[in-house]
Amino acid sequence: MNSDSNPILTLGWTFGLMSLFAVGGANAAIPEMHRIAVDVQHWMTDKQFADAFAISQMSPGPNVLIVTLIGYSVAGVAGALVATLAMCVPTAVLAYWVSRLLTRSSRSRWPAIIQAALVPLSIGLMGASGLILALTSDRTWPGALVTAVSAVLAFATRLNPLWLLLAGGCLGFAGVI
Amino acid sequence: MVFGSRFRGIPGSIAAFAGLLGPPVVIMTILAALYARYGEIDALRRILAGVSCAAVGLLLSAVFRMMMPLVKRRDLVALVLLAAVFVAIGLLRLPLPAVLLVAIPLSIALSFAMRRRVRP
Repeated sequence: MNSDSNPILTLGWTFGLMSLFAVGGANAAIPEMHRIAVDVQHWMTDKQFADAFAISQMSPGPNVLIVTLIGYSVAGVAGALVATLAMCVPTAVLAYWVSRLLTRSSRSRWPAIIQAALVPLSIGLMGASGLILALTSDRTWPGALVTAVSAVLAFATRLNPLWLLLAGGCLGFAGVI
Repeated sequence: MVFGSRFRGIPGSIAAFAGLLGPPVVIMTILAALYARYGEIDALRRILAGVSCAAVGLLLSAVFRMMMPLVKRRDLVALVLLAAVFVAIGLLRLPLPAVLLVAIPLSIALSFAMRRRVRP
């Protein structure tokens, strides 16, 4: 990991490699993104990473686009494009081949077994994401309370998540958090 | 993308990929530029801090929602695997590829063994 080398190349191979291990989707890959972007490469601060997560959750489109924000902060528009393509293309190609394989061998029991085997791993990864993001976002007691209330409301009701994000934003603006 | 490939082969899948991803990526790049320019403004910092607190709550609720079936089934093997991955990634901060190269084969082997035991 040579920090003198071209940052765009680093973005490319970092997210290209990560996309092959993206079991459970973007929210499961967040600990690895945080580890690399904040701890290893020092591309962003904790606060910037938490902000990028917030923006990616509010925006339309898949949550994986947090990599667009990370890429932009490293190397502008070119970084944003390279990071996004590196994260999405290998996964897409893999999905393409796997779907072809599945249609060919749809009688096999293996796809169901593999899928069932990946479920607990994905949930564990998402739980780790929750922990890491809580440590970076909830720097105050009111902040932690907002997280807890939003978790309970999202779990127990069918409230549109956007309302919770909006409420969090309003509380933040009011200076409560 | 998979659907695109079913209808029109590889060009179809590329078109589906670009069509799905293109517009959100443009929006996200604009937001990234705005953040780079105005991210230091105090009001925006506070708003984003609030949004990220709420967003973490949403993520946690999704985790609990996905865990419920495993808890209800008392699927101990799955819950132990889940906890092991959580500790390795969330607490020990080990690299993801290393953890998954151990966890995926282990989990597949275990669920294969369990299934044989249930339905011989």
